[in-house]
Amino acid sequence: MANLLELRNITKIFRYGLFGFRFKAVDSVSLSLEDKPLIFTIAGESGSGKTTLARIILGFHIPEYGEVLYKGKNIHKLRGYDVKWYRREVQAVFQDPYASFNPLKKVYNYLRETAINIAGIGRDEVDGYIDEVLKAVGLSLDKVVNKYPHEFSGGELQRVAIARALLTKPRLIIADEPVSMLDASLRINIVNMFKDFKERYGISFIYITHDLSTAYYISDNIAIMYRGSVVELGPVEKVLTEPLHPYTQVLIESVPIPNPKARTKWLETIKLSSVVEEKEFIARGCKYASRCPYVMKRCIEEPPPDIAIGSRVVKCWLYSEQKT
Amino acid sequence: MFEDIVINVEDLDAVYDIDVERNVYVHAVDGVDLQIRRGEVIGIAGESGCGKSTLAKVLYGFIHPPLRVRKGSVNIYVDNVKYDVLKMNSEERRAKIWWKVISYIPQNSMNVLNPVERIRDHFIEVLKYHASTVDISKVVGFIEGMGLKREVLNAYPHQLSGGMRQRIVIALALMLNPRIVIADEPTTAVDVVLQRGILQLLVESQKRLNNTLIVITHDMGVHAMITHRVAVMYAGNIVEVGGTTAMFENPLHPYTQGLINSLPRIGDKSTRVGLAGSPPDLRNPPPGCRFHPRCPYAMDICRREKPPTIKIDRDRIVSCWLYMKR
Ligand SMILES: Nc1ncnc2c1ncn2[C@@H]1O[C@H](COP(=O)(O)OP(=O)(O)OP(=O)(O)O)[C@@H](O)[C@H]1O
Ligand SMILES: Nc1ncnc2c1ncn2[C@@H]1O[C@H](COP(=O)(O)OP(=O)(O)O)[C@@H](O)[C@H]1O
Ligand code: SF4
Ligand code: SF4
Ligand SMILES: [Mg+2]
Ligand SMILES: [Mg+2]
Repeated sequence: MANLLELRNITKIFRYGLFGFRFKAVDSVSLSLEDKPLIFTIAGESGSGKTTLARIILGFHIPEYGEVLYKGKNIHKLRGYDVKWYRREVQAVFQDPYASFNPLKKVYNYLRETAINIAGIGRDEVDGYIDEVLKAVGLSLDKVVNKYPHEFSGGELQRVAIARALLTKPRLIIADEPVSMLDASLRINIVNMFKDFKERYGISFIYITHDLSTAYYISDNIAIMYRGSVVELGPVEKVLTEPLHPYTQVLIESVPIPNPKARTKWLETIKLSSVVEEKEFIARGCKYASRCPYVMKRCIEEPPPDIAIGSRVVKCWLYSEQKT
Repeated sequence: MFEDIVINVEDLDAVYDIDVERNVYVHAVDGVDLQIRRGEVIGIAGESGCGKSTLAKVLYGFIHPPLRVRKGSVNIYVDNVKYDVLKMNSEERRAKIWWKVISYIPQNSMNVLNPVERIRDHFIEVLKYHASTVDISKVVGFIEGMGLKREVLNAYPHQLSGGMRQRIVIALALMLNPRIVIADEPTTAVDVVLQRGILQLLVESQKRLNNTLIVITHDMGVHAMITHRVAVMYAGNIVEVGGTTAMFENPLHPYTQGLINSLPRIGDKSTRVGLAGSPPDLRNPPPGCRFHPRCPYAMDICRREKPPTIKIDRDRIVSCWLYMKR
């Protein structure tokens, strides 16, 4: 099957940071999304390169190396009509809904502009269409029409942002931490919506998050990032219940579990790292070596290769003998 | 009588004034009673906008306009001394209780460090005011115990990652061994591994010093992992208080049930439903039970009359008409 989206060896270099040197915020990342409705999660700690990757897919950053193919076309080389086509096909939802809207502009004006200019809806049909899309996110035109961004709660405004993304009937939505600023009780409503849109409208999602519990709940596949690299990749059921990479293992053990009986294990002391993050970005061997409990000599000298194990890929020397 | 009570909050009512002439205000804390026990880790739960941070500010005595306490009392009992927090002025609070008796890690605290001061000066400032001697070598030992290197003392806040700044703020709050620590959303902005490390630091210091830790967060997972008891707040009211294990096994208030049931867990894909809607605008809270517009069990009486607080057993109280025996 052809892929909807394919990232081939993407590398993005930034030239500053705490110590003013060059580092790879995204380091030879390859991923692909099959051309069927699915939810693909990208998870990993702060600064691991998730947002940078999202911005590359959206065309906001140009990678130093590698290419992004959407339906076979290199998205950084699109011209003319194709640029508009790509903006319709691929939409984005960001973490802070208040930052996505101009505070002095009524949100209805945004919805109208997107509907007319990008989705190409006729002026006489536009309000009916906006109302229909708002209903899909549990709002309606009359609840929205006269309001400025600050007159919505965070959860409501995020739903407006999702509605705006839906207006162009996209094939793919990139959602960068769409629920991080929301309470857990509201998160589930938003992620349920993603699941529903995948099933009802055949929309695929790239869901970027720290929250592994919602990731497990909605996604099909997951990539775990660490310091710019994808360290583990595969079906969410496998990666999150039988993690292979030592970093994935710590990550999953650290998720608070809403069951007090699980606390003994969770309270087993972990050591907090005092390593400066940027040093890990430029490590010669495995970037996780300074924290890894299984570190070997080889790990420090040579970067680990991607090793395929069943439906999974893991970047770790521990598995180098274990090919299937 | 108050032997094992370290903070006693009675009938507390606090508002943010919006327009004094027209008597418009945000009713952020409404009739709160709460007894905090010596040596416990107590959680305050509830969605954002339910008044958790406001309650924390009042407990600490950090009360500035537009925040105003309309009624009620907060008494702290430490080392056989009673401090009537709301009767003191800011100067007295600073001299007698802040940092030593009670310390407060405010929400978004990684942004409270002064950007033009080195980390070292933040420590010196607190020590100068409150300790007899300023011994920077003690500070070094202290921050090394938190997994930080001594070099960070010479750094400016912006040179440190968010997680490091968060640890500095916690180190400042714990340095003078306060008997009570209030931590308001101490890990909301950090990733799970760091969150686990920071919460472990707080819990370990609580055990070591046998002090009282008040943890405020909307994350029920965190409450399950570290608290002994939880008080659930909704729209300015405390709607349920109970032992953590019992509450997770059998949440009584429909709001608590909603909070717990909306959480997905790794390994379980069964459908979860969140609470509908969001907390009310506290300028104009709903009459009767403030939760009634979102409650699946709302009855006529709920829309008219505030539910009473019902004691279920020694440890559990709930404010809901469903538990009223007729
Ligand atoms: N425009 C830029 N110039 C220089 N460095 C940048 C730029 N944007 C991001 N970085 C750096 O690149 C690294 C990856 O950042 P990125 O925002 O992609 O991480 P992230 O995984 O999205 O993190 P978070 O979970 O905090 O959102 C970080 O070290 C960040 O400071
Ligand atoms: N400085 C302020 N001025 C006016 N209203 C405020 C202020 N701070 C908080 N509020 C309001 O008080 C209510 C309770 O807020 P808060 O105590 O911060 O809740 P929580 O900590 O549970 O999120 C909310 O309605 C909030 O908007
Ligand atoms: S390659 Fe080595 S250091 Fe890196 S995660 Fe694997 S075992 Fe640990
Ligand atoms: S008092 Fe009524 S509305 Fe309030 S929580 Fe109980 S049943 Fe629901
Ligand atoms: Mg990001
Ligand atoms: Mg708060």
